[in-house]
Amino acid sequence: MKTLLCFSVTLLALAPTQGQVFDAGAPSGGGGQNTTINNSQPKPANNQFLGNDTPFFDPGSETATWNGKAWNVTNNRLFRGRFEKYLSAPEDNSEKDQAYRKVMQEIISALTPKQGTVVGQGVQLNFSKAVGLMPIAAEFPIDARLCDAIASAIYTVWMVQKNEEAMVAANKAMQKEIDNLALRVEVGSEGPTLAPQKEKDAKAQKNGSPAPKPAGGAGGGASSDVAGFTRLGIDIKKITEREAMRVANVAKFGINELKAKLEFQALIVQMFLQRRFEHTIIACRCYNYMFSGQDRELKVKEGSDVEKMFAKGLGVNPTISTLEAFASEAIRDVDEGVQSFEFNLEKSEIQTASNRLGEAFAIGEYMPRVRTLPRSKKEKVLGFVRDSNMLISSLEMKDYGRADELLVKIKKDSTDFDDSKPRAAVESARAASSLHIEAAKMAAVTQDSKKVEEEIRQAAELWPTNPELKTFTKQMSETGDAHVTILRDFDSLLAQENYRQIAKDAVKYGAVMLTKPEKQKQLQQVLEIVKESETAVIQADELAKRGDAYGAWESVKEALVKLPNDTELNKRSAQFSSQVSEFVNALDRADKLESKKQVGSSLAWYLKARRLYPASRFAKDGINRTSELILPDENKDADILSAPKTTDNSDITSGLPRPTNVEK
Amino acid sequence: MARRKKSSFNPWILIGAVALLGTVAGGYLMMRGKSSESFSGTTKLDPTEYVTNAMSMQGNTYQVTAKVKDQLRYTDSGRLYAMEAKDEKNGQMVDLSMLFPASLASESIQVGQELTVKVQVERNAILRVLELKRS
Repeated sequence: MKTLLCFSVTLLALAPTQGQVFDAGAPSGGGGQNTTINNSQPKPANNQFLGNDTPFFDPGSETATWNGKAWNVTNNRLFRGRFEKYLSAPEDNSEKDQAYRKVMQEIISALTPKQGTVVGQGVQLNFSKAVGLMPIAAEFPIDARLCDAIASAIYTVWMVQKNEEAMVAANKAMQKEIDNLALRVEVGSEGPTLAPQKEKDAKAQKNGSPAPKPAGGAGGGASSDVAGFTRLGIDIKKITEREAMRVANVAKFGINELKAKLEFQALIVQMFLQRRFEHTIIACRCYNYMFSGQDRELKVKEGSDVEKMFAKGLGVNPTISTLEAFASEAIRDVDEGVQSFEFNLEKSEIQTASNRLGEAFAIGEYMPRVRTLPRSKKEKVLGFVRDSNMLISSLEMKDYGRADELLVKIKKDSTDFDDSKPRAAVESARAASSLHIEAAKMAAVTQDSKKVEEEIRQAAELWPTNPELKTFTKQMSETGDAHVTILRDFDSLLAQENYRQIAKDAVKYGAVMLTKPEKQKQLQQVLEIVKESETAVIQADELAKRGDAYGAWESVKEALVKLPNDTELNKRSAQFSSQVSEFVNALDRADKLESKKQVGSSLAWYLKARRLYPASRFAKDGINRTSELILPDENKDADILSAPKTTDNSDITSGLPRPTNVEK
Repeated sequence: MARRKKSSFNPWILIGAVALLGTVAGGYLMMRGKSSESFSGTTKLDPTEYVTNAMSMQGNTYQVTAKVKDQLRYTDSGRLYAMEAKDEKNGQMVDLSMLFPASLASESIQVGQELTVKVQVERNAILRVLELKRS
């Protein structure tokens, strides 16, 4: 029973009131003909409503399967929306509603057998009263003019039945005419030669075969014979025609009656599937009244899902009475569901109450018990239903943060709420997403951007609104910006030759240059220069401590070539220059004269510098360089006068030891 | 008592020795006077002036006495020596370099020797030795 009811609910939700193809199936007595009634355009054979592709409801999982797809009946969006709308709507307790229910109750009462008197095989009910009330009920909007449809079907049957009476009368008249004609033929053909033939013809006509035409006249005058034969022939022809019409009327009546019956059955099934159980009961009782004593079996296609459903549930072919029983049972089930709802509501078991009302609503959305449920009671579960719906939406959208908040709220509001399943879903998604984010962080440390991207994608798939994900991506973005800034700073300091500052933040720069080998190379070069200058400073300080101010000055000077703007080196250079001013002056003058190609006097100054500080590297290099210019190698064919000076014109204090190879 | 033997000093020997000494001294002086006469007329080099303003001395020939400090370079074209000369104005030693061309290759020059040389200041301020005279 439950399966059947849920089946009807599913049909309403998924494919309400589609066009129908009602196949009468095998011929059943009467006219002995196959009849198919099409109420709409024919559909493909594999997609027939009430055919082989009907929805199937599994009560175990509360899922409906149709057209290759499965839905959870109580969890589908359409149902949730309708149920929520119902909960927030006021009860149908207006005068109009009450008047409608009163009319419906009167119709049902008028059609209840105990109200009438059993006479013979039929049942005498207050049928006329019921039919008379139907147009009144149809006027109410909630009825959706279904009572009109029933009344119309009844009228159709009446018309068929009235036609039947007329046709019976017509057939009787025709039979009488046939008999008269036969008598006339018999009288008109009286004669020795014709008598046997007349008897024969009369017999043939009774058997339905056409009367043979007389071959010729025998007896009487020739003209009277001819006239007699002509009248006789006409009468015989008339007899044949009347007989054919009478047989056709019988066949026509059979067809009309079957058509009306099938239309009525289709209407009943449709109302049942629309969960209009009161209308189903009314229609069933009307059908039984109008077709009393006849076959009440539903004409559904053999082998179809509908046929199987009824056959599986009952073990027998469905009948009109079966549908009536189902409808009555559905009404009872809805009443029970609402009672259960009220009981659970009193005990503040909101989830259970909501489930019971949801089930009752799904089956008996149009039942008075459901429609008249006070809004104050419905409101108590409305909040729960809304939260539950939001929870379902949150879980569907993988918004586990919101789902978690809702779980807490629902659990607080409803003592019987079982949060184990959604809680498990939330926690498992959280854990999995967090694992991916951790993996992404690890990958970020190793600068594996591809892995970072993949892990973030997987984490987002599991939990798109994960706050950790947001934080991580923000961090990544900020880190990216910071990297750009740091690299810009590096380039700026490099352009300023502020190598010592770069060296100070070498770790920071090194961290952001892990994926930039060209920058790493630059940083390495800077660090080496700074290291050399540091060494020079240390060496200079050490030499100064030992009283070797010349050596200290030279050490600092050498380092200043690569780090001209280094404050430490410049500071020491100034400090030592004052101590060895004569030596510095000698080198300075030597350098200037060398620049002016006055290599002779330049060499003299270098020699003076050497005399002042015999270990001087600058003096030694200068002496070697100028000596080569004065006395070049034979194979070099040097011209000292044209030999360019290889150093710039800068002061020696900012110069370098000069290269030993002099270009010519 | 034995009588002390009379000195046998011959005054002619004394006269001869004096004459010989006079001859030697005269020869020496004659020779000496002949050598100085070869750089005669050559201006003495002011080493301080040279190292500070060699440009104005280019092309000139000077004589200078200097001490060999070390050989800086040696090629077939000549030898380059570091020398030091005394500035007669202030008595300070001034470092110089002198180029002894191949024409003076036969001259043996030792470190520590004091040489009086005739030099020419070339346009690149190189002191090219033209003649030398050992002190």
